Amino acid sequence: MKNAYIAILATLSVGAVVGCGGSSHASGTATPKSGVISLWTTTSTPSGGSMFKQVDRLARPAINEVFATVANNRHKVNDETSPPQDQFELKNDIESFLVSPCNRSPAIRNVIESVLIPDVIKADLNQTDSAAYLGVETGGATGGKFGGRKLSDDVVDISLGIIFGNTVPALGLAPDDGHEIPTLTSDHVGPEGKHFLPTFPYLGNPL
Amino acid sequence: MKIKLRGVLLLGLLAIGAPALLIRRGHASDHADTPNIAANPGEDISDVFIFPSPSNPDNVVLVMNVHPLIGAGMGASTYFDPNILYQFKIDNTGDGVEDVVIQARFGPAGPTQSVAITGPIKPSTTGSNNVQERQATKRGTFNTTFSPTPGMQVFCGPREDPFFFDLEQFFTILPDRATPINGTPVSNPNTPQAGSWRPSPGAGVSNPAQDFLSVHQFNVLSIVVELPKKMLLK
Repeated sequence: MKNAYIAILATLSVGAVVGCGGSSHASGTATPKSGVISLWTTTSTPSGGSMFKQVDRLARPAINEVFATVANNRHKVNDETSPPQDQFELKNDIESFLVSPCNRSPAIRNVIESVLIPDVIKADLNQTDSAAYLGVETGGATGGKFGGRKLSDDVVDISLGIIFGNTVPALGLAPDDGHEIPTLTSDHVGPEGKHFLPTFPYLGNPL
Repeated sequence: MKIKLRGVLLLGLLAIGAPALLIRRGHASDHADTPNIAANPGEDISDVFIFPSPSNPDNVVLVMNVHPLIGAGMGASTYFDPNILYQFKIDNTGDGVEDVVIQARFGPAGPTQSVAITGPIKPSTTGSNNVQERQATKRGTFNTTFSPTPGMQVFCGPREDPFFFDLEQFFTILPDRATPINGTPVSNPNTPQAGSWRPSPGAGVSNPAQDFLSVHQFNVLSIVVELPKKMLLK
């Protein structure tokens, strides 16, 4: 799956790719109303009176979990903050990991951080094609301009390709730094073992 | 996927070969980085999805999964945490601050656990401290699809965990991420301790990659919401 994904990315022109959400600009016409939204989820516990305090937060899977160490409570900090704080917290976790062990170039690190910060799932509700993880951020290169995330998206391999592989250089977003680690770019597990449903509620019946 | 909690339970499983009934005991005694989450799996978010409705082009589907690692056959007897405020947060202006929320709360645990859905609504507070909004809520029941408002469908109940990942090898590569399980801090938490993932299964392949969640038939509790796209936009 990952090889196909990279092949698609490689065919993309640089200009079609943007780091952040927002509709592309149609020249000479009024800008259409944006359909781009950012989604995240939280759980909160009672904290006195009618208030609830956030204890967990999740948007993109395997980001906080891979980049942030358990040591020094980095998971906990990111679980309890909101997207505007990611540029001061999660971004440092990503930078640290990309420097060591990944040894990625400053240009590649900058691209990855601009895509992954803030930690939200972007979806363009005006698009009628398929959902595809990171589709908004890559101008549809991952399989659909709707973006979001569908049940069968291999988010682990997509993430590994960005972190350890040549995804960013293949997109033309930064020069190849020669620091890929090919043995780490796929966990070799796909969605074949799942039993997704074609109708609501879509996730497979409990096992 | 929240590896921290899954790790807690995984190690419990591997260490004692325990049936599902013993899992809770295993993770209750661990040393998680976030003890509240480890002790309360109902607040542990494991996955988030958003995709177009396959049946109605005007609709979008939101999914939030919690309470990972429910053992096979135990989905219908594992319930949402009545103390927790569960929220989908949507920013539709690009500033990273939620403009619309959908909130779920649950009644006392049991097979007829009540579900209260509020929203989509503009929240009266934003950020990490919130209130349950006072908009009239529509109630439904655990494990039963219902419609809080016309055009909107909600299901809250057990589902097959949709995540797929070679969790065991991930912990081999980055043992720090498993420290909630064993309580042993790693001095070099970002240094890989293995150089590769496991190979794809095939003839003659020893120790192949496998999806831990499928192999062990784990479930989650899902909050699935399908609603008109326009309800989430400005």
